[in-house]
Amino acid sequence: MTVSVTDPPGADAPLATGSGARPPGRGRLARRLRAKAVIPVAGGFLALLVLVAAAAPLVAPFDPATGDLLHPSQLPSGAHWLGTDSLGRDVLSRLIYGARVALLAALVAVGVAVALGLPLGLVLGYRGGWADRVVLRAAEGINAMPFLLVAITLIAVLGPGLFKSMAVVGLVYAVMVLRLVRGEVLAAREELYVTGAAVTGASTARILWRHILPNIAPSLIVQVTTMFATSIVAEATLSYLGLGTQPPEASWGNMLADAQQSAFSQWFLAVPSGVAILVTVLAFNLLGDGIRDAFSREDTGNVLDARGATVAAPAREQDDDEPAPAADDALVVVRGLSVSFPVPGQRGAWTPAVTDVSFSIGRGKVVGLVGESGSGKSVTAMALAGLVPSPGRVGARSITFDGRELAGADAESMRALRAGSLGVVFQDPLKALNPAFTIGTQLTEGLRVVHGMSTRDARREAVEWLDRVRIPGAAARLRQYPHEFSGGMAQRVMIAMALSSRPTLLIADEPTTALDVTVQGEILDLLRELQAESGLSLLIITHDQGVVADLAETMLVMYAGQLVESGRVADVLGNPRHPYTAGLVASVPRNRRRTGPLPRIGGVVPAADEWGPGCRFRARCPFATDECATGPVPLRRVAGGSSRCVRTGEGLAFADPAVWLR
Amino acid sequence: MLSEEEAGVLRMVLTRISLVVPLVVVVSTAAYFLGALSPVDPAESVLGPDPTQAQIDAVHAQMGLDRPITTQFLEWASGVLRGDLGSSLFSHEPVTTMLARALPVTLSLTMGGLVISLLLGIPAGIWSALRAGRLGDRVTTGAVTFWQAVPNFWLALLLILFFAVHLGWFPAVGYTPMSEGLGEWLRSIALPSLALGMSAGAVVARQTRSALIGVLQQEYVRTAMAQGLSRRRIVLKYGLKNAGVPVVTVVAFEVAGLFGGSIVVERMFSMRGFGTLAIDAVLRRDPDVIQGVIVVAAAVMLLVQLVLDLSYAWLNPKVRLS
Repeated sequence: MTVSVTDPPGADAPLATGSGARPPGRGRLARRLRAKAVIPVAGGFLALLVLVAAAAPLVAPFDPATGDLLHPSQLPSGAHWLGTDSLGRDVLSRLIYGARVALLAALVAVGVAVALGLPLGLVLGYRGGWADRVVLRAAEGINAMPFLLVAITLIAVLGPGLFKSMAVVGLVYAVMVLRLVRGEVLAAREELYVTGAAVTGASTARILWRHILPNIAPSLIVQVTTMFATSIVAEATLSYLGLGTQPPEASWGNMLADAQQSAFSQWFLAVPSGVAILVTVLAFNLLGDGIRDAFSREDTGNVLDARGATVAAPAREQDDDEPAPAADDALVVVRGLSVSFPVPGQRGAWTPAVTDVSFSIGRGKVVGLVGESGSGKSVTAMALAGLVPSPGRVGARSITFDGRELAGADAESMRALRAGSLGVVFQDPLKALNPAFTIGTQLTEGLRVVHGMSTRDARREAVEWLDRVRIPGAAARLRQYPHEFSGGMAQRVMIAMALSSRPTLLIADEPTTALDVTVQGEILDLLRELQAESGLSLLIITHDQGVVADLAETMLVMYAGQLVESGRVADVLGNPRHPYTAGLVASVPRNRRRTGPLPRIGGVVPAADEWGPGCRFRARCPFATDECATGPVPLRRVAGGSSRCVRTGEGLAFADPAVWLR
Repeated sequence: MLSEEEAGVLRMVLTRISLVVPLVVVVSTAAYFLGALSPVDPAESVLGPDPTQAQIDAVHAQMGLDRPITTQFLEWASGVLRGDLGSSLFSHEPVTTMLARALPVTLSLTMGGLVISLLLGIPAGIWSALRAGRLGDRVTTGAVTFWQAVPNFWLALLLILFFAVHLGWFPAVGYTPMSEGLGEWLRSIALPSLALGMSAGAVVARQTRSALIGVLQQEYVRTAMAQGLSRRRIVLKYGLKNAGVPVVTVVAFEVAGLFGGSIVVERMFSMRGFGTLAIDAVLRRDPDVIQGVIVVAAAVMLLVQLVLDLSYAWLNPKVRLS
């Protein structure tokens, strides 16, 4: 296998620590538009088409309406590049004049649509009220009717003819523009800056023009582009039916109608006008797609394609102490776990989320994993479960679970692991449960499909589990949907679901963060009880040290993708050996008297590209010295644990609240 | 006694009807009066070129067009309430008979197009979504974008030329009613259905792709993964039901689009369906026929909307109770 420079690190290269990764660039729109190759190609073609159509009398080799009756229905030749039709008229010339008709017709339809739909949509969306409701209902009704039928009905009133027909098409499109604009305005109106402008007394017209219109421009531009495409088809359709361009004037639609008349004798006539419509419509659609993609990048990664950890090379960028050997009966031993994600919009650039993390979880033990948002603690836990969404890459020197090596395991082994030995409880139970299925279906699915129980046994087991997590009326609740559960009750369901396969390790990823304070305690009590009862190991991820102090025996502290401190909970919380841990402890309100300002860690967790070569915490650290910036800080073993700080052991009072009062 | 769920569904159906019926009344009334303003005079198509005013007046009197427009409308409206949609000015055939003959043609093509669009669109969309951003997805999406741009009546012409004229596998023109044999009926609607269904299928494929991509990023998919369910089961059981709502919405729009599209395609295949009826009526101004077409089309769309609402309720349990 050849490894090119654009290959993502992971399989055989140690993960970069930000040096190779660029921040997700918020490039200027023009650059993003140019970056899409399809935009200049499609746009260029359309520009050329407009030019040719405008210069039709100069470009067309023959008059489109007068034919040479002596040479009808000819195949392409030197004189007639696309042949002649049944009346001996030059097909190429008719095609060029047809382009004129098509573009002009599309312009009329789109012009009418925007001229009527945009202002009406802006005003209705901004003002709301009964007029909005009435118009919206009517608009929905009109859009629900077959478009062509509505157009034909209206043409019945105006009579056939190209411009009248296209004005009618524009009228129907105006309804679509109105609905789009109204919806976008409703959304934009809630935005803070719009509310702000309204509060400062800007006029409605000014707010609509200056603040709302630019906001809705992208989707409007995309819709207008697609509307050009459908207008071209509409013109051709109506002209084909005899309701649009009237013969002998050339239009792609009535050229097709002519072609059909003589199709049995001369099939080639069906080709030029059809291809003309196809290519023009395609160009408009591609342009629209390109513009849309430039405005909003589609996020295509998903957890379905999650892969387990690959075996990463043993080389380590930091000169960490070898972690204390895990106890013989450790359930999980992780060595050198790294996770990285691709930088959006930059091929081959990867940004690290977790770098070189090692820890172990004892059998029947509870380990707490703490850190602020963005510290990489959830990613670490998901990597252990093989649930890092693709295209994220996970690498590790070694991950053993109950003696089995998981680094290098395929997706199927990771699935089998999750089906049996490993359960996960997620942060927001109402999002983690599928809204379209009953609790019973979701709870029994794993038991039936993975563990091969009969439906009846699975239901009985599910009821037992709901009883065990203390959900009253279990049998009836199985028939209910997630939205009929409160957050706390739903989290009990999640716990039941995770435990029903009788795992040996339960990962609880912030299990109480999304819940009301009043039910947090209940869920924690339940977890503690079930853990003690079944003797499973528990990895609990939280940003709440209270939870750790309550449940865990050992704890890990993560910062900016690194492990910065570990040890027994009492040691770490009582006598932090890393300034970050100390800052976390000092900033918990209940540890302090309630007077004066609260101690806190200033600033935020830096993004990967701001990590720099030295200690990743130094910018926020009151104890930082020049030495902290010089190079990677290794994780050093300290009594009963480890700490990643050059000043550990200097006897500094890291945890003094006064230090953090800045 | 109805259960809470049944009551919810019933309420939804009644709401839908209460919204659409007034709309149909308003639209058909407006169309009637606006139709009177049309520059097309039915008398012209009876009399041929350059008639005298006396001739025109005579024809008007014969057709009843000399009476005030309100009188004409009231007569038509009272007829509608009795189930009589009037008759053609030209053939004097009752509109109900004309519609009863035309509707099966158009509905056959609409349904045929729908079946083809779903058979093509949903698997293509799933296939694409599962490879999102990779080569297979880009190739499929490219093909879908191309198909979407193929005008259905041009495709119809190409299909006729190749499969009917060149190979002779299918009839080039004409509709065979189902009563004359299922096989013959299928043969007669195969090509027009294909012509209609291809570009509609492209739209379905796009929507299925983006809906499924969105669903696969939801947290409940991670939960299903955490349970150790297989990829196949997660996509086919969980993913598709959740992705169903946006797909059903676009399908409902497609039905309206196919219904309209069949107007053109049936012309291509010389079938006397709804479109031929509507276009002839528009070109000659045959008011009762135009009205009949509008009312019946609205009724068909109402039905589509009802089916749509019911499938929403099945796909998304939250809708049922609200």
